[in-house]
Amino acid sequence: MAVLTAAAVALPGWARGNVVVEGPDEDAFTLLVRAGELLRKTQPSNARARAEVRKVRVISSLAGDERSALFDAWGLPSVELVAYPDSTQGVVQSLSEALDEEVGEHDGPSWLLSAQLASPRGTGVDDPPKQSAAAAALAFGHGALAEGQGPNAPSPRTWVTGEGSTPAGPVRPPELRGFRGAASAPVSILLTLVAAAASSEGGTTGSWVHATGERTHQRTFLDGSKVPLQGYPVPEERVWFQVPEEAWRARAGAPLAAVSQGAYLSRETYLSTLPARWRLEGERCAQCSAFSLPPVGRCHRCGTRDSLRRGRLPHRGKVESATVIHPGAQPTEFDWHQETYGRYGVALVRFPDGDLLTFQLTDQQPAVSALGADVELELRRLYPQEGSWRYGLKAVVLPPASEAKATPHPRGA
Amino acid sequence: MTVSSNRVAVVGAGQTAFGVLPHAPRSLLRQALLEAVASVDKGISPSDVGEGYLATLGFGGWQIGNPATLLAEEMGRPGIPVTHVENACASGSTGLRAAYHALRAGSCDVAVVAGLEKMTDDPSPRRRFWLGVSGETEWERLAGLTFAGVYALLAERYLSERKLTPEVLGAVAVKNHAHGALNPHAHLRKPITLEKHRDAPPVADPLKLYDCCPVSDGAAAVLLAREEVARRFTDSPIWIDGSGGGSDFLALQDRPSLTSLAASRFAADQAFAHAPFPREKVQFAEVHDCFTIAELLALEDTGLLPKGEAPSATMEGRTRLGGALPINPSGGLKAKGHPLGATGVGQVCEIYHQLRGEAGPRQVPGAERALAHNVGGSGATAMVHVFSR
Ligand SMILES: [Zn+2]
Repeated sequence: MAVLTAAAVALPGWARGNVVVEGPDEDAFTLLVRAGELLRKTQPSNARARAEVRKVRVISSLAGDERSALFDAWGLPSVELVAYPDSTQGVVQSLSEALDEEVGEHDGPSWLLSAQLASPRGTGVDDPPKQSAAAAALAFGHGALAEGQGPNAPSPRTWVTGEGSTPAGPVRPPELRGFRGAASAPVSILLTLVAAAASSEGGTTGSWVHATGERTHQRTFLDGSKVPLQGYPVPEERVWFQVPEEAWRARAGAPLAAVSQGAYLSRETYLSTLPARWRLEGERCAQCSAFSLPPVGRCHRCGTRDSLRRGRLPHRGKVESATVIHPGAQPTEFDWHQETYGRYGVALVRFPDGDLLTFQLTDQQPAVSALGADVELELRRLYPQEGSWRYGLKAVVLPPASEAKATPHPRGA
Repeated sequence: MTVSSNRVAVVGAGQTAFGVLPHAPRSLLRQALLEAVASVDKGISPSDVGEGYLATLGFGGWQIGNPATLLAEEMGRPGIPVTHVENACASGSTGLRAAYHALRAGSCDVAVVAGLEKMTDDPSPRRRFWLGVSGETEWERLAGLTFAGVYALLAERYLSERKLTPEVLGAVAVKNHAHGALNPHAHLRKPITLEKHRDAPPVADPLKLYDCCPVSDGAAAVLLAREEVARRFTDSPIWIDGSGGGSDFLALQDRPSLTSLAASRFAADQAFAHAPFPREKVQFAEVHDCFTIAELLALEDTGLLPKGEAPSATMEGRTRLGGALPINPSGGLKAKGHPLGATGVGQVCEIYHQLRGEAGPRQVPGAERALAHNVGGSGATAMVHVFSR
């Protein structure tokens, strides 16, 4: 029997910053990636708990190659991944299985993730902007971890993190804008669980699982309290992927000839370079200090084949130069972006060790070019091609340090 | 180093007007060749031509494979060896350099170099698709950049480091539009004002509409001859005194500088290493100004102006016709037009006529020495040629 050992909530940029972002480019995939990253940061410092993730459960409708690409995004070795239907049944089944699993003292955690995305834009006064999107990630491990045993065991409160957390409290309760009334959506259930865990009050934990149903399980949660886990009414399925998802899907399905002829990066090439593109994994040359992406065993600047060291660039840097691409100046791959949202920014980003890379700017309103600004890189949608989305890192401009000190930025730590 | 025993001359040059043209690619090529042949003072026959180089990107894909054979056909010389050269926007000057070397190697006595592009008949989305294919794909294009965006990144950094406003870009545009208005072959023949430049719609900040060259059709051709035979064709040949080339990383992010194009510097250094005169002696130049920022970069990268002087020289009018160092008297890519493969060859046409005193109202008085500078992509390739009469 496993217990919940850590939890994390990921919110899209438009929900974190309390603004309507012009070009929302986050979806179930990017939020799952982010939730997993946050979960990893949240893992207890206890060495056993930091063991390699043993198994991943995902409640989502992601395609197969997108599910396996999650590991590339997290930089984790590929382990068993179990997909559950994007429904309440999927939540019940996945939770039950995660909790029912026999877990040894030295076993690494298993993860359970779910993400939901709704239209970030409304259609008018009667339909105000919806900003309901989130992902939740839960880690399950050996029971002893949750009972505060061992010299380094942290208090449960610190085990939960999430976007929107403030210095005062570990997590903002998940009555997220737009999620009201959507308690039946899988992610809402997980979010409730996360909030309950954050409060570390068994009573709260029980409040959501106390619905009636035929299946009853008894579970041990963070504080060690025993809580009955029961089935609950299967609600009407909510379709969260609506506009502009449908339009985007249609666009992504456009014939290859219409979107790409020469400057064409095949899906195979794209998938084969994910560690370099998403995690900036490459090789540092000891001769000339250049960083080569992807790593091919040869420095791209000086050609040396020895004295190369594997490494990663941090996901932070400064804007070296920037531009705003106005409608008409975009490559055809970005037509959908311009048609849907208009202009966007692009920046050359200088990394702390002097390396320079090119990224689209995101979460900007309006798009501006801000030389010298600090940016953080996040995995986002790039453009649709051949029926699916290509993802890549984009740069989010961080508020100036002074401003961040005055009012805690919703991005948190 | 003097190479007078092995010099190469331009003995004829001709081009179509650049612009939105109704003609098919093959007839554009034919027109340019006819113009070039007609320009040869003592006449030239197809049988004199021993080799040919055709510069084209095959924009829009009308003939991507094997287009050079059209050059042999339209030259009336089927059977000669022909080569398709492609270095993006520097294709024309790359063809020139290839022919120059073939002649110096004694491969033939006369060679023809032609450049050709048909761009305006492609539907807009396809055109935008093609305009990006010479850039770096995996990082730049897929971060949402076309060439306007890439040059915008260079411009933003340039203006920021030198504490300049976009007005200096406007000064380049105003000057080249004024020059283009004097050129019957130019695509854009209307002068503009600084205000018009400033108030134009943005393309890629800080670049606005009048910072960008137009999308043009056009063809150009030059006839080159070895010194031994040059005077059979003309008593006023134009000599190619130096040829240099350079390359750089395809993507900006891999280059050490964002305010200088290393390929241009390499090309200029190489060209002047062979030229019988130093760069200070150059009296005018045709430089690659696909975007206004590119002209400012070119002026310092080629060494025509000392580092740091391009903006002030431009603002003060020193690079205008009538100034100390007229730049782009043809109007440049900015106003004359930029039919990719034809551009570098078209620059030589301008220099040929200028050095022979045939440039009419835009004539640089007493011009004896000139430079042509042609860049591929955002500076991944560059060629510099030095000429004298
Ligand atoms: Zn190296």
